[in-house]
Amino acid sequence: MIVFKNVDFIYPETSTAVLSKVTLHIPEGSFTLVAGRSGSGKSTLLRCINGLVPHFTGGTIKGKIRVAGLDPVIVGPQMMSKRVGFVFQDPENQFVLDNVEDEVAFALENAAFSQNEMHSRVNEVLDLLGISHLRDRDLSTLSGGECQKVAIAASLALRPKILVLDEPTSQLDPQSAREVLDAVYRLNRELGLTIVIAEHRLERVLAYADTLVYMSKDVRGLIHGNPQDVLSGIEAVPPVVSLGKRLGWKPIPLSIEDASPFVSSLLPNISEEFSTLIQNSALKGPPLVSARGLKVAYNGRQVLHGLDFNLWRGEIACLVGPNGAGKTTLLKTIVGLMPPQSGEVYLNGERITSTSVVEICGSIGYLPQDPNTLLFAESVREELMTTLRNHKYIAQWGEDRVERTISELLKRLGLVGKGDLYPRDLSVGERQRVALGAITVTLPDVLLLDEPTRGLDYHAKQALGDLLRGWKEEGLAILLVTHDVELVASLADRLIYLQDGEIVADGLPASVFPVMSGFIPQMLRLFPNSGLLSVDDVCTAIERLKKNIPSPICMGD
Amino acid sequence: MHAWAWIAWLVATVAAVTASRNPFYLAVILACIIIVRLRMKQRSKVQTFEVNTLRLAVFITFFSTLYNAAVSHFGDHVLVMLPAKIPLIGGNITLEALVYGFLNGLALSALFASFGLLTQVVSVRDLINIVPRAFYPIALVVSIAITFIPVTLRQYRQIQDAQAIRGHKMSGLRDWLGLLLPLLVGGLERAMQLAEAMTARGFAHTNGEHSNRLRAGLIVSLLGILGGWLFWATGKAAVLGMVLFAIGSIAIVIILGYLGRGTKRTTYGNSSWSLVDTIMVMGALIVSGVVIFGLSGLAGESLGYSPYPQLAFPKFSPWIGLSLLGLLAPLVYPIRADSHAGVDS
Repeated sequence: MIVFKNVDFIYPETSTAVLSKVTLHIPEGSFTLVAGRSGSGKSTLLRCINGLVPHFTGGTIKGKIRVAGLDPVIVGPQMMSKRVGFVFQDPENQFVLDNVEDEVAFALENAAFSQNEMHSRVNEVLDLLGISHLRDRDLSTLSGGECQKVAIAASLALRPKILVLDEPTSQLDPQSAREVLDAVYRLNRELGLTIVIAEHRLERVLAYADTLVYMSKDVRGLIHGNPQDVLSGIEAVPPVVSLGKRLGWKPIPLSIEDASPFVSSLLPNISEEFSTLIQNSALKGPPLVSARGLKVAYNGRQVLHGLDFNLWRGEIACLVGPNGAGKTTLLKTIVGLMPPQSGEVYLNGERITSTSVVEICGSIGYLPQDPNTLLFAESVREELMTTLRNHKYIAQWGEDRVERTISELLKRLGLVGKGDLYPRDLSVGERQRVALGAITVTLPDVLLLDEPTRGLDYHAKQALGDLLRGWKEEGLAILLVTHDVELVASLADRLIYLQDGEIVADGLPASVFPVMSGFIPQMLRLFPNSGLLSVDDVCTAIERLKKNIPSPICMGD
Repeated sequence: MHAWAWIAWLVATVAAVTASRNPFYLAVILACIIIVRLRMKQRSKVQTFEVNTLRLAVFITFFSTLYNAAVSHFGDHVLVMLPAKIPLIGGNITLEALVYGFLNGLALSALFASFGLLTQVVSVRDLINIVPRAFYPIALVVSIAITFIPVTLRQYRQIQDAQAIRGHKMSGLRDWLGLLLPLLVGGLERAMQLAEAMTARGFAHTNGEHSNRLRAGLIVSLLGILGGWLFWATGKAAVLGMVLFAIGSIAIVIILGYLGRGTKRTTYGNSSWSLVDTIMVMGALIVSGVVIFGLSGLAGESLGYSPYPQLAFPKFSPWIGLSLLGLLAPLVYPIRADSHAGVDS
């Protein structure tokens, strides 16, 4: 269905090839996952399939591409739109009109279909995606998951044979992501649609995929084939795959369902045995940040309902919950960007509810969801200097201390040698770290981070995790808002579950995860009620129990 | 309801608001807009006068009042006299200027509210569909630009927040860079993404055969209009200027029409014309008629009320007041739960 032969591609005004000698065959009716580090060329590969590369982007392309019998380089994206449906990362940025039904019909209108045919096709795709009930809704009223389903429906209106999706779940909570992926999987199974999907969070998609394409910049280049085979040669893999590899399970499990037989046959009572390992490490002393009875409304909607909240020094607390639960509102209220209707916020015991944002942010670093909103200076170093200048720290600290602080921070952020570069030219992960630098250069005691891993690959996430652990060891209080349950499992000291503006659960991750339907990390799903959250936790526990169990378990060790 | 019916309602509202500064009539018009908005909210997604709209209306009225009082020094009732050496605002601050500024503010608020209502009750697709096919590409671009406004405003607020947490203060021109640069870059990125998405969905197939010649024709026509305007403005060859202007304008319409015929496109769903739409147009015609007659003095002088030069109590003609209630015609539309306002497909 899709064939690449020795394809090279270079973007205009650059000298490095994004795609180099790419040879690939994606069979008809397959569900292909495209994975790889940021900047490895995943989006470029996807855009070659429908001709957006090079027709939309420009650049030089060599080699041969055949998609559903056509050469997209020759026929272009308009012609390819009848064979290839394309769904982008951010649904909001791909909608042309303001209503679900109109949006789905847009491509049909452009292809000059008759009214009867258009009505029939619109009904068909809305039924396929299970969103007929949304047909009259205004797009601005839909949830993230619903928006993405509408985007998929809109791309299917021309009845393409191939559906390409570029990180379609990156902005969705786990529950919405699963709904979208289930819908895509149904299209694959029931209609035989060929699916090609790029995603960083492999744990979300691997269970559906029958082909894996892994792109890397190293000598191995692009590898593709059966997911188990490809994953055996990759380090950054989801926890269940990592556990399977470490314990020598064959075939390597891609999902909890795949791994369950190994667990039940080798260690039937593991959950009960390990539950004793949950340790209570309740924090003591007065909280560094606290909120009492916070009530906040936004656009006429009550978002927070009298919320009480604490954050202690030396902890990483993770705040999770469905989209629209009030997570971002809580962060904004703490730093004074949103005034509460009632309730108070305290920092170190002092009331800061009426304090100015600038003053609060000298002590509390707040990283908003989109790091690009922070960046405007001509260099990374200048970004950090700007914050210091705004807070009048340059005169206060003196040049030496300023220089020392910036140099140390750049080193810590892994940005040594990039101080003079233009921030917007950096990779997603690097830009995220520059933004982090811009809000931490004042050396705050508290960090509030809103979805800092969105769009980051495993390596970038790991680097961010290490950075946060380091700050925590130095006594910073860190509150992290995220949908990434695996990150929470590996990083959180405390987990707070927010739903409809109220804290539903607050405590040790192992005790809170079980009450969060749809937000459970893979290890805890594999070993329910065990308190084991990461692969390291599981292997350590197995080691400890090894002596009491007759057969060896860690065969791969 | 049909988009044309709403356009007629808007035209009548705008005509009435711009024609009169009589506070009684302005109050009637504003009341009509509020009532229609409340009614539309009952049947669709239309927001009522939410806090932001009210805040904006209060701001516009307040600013307009102050501005007019400060810069317009006409009127007999002097409230205070500022030293003449102060540029622009130096001179008499009069009660008449204050009142006129207030009435202007009310009129602007009414215009803002009526346009806001139109964008909420008529879908973007319906607006595009009533534009002649020749202008479809332009209509689509304009409609996309309209849908971009709320997104851009949201992004502006996000950037404002992000810069505030870095201690950013707006004290000089250079400080605007921190707001404008991310906004500009973000806007361009969004525009590129949308263009990419539209291309991937088969948009932008153009009839390339004559496109270069037509493009050249457009440029020549625009130059003709510009040249004609220059001749007319300098007064050296006014007649030639007017002829050039007219030829350029006609040529542009013809070229766009030709381009439109080259665009193969169908329309999903047709809005049907109903009795309610006819009633709305009748209401709009009554209001427009009153404005035309009022301005020509046939409906009394009360419509053209002005507080200058000496503040006087405005007259009120019950017939004009009653006629303005034609703006309430949308109320005849039956209430039912339907978020797809303005579309009967």
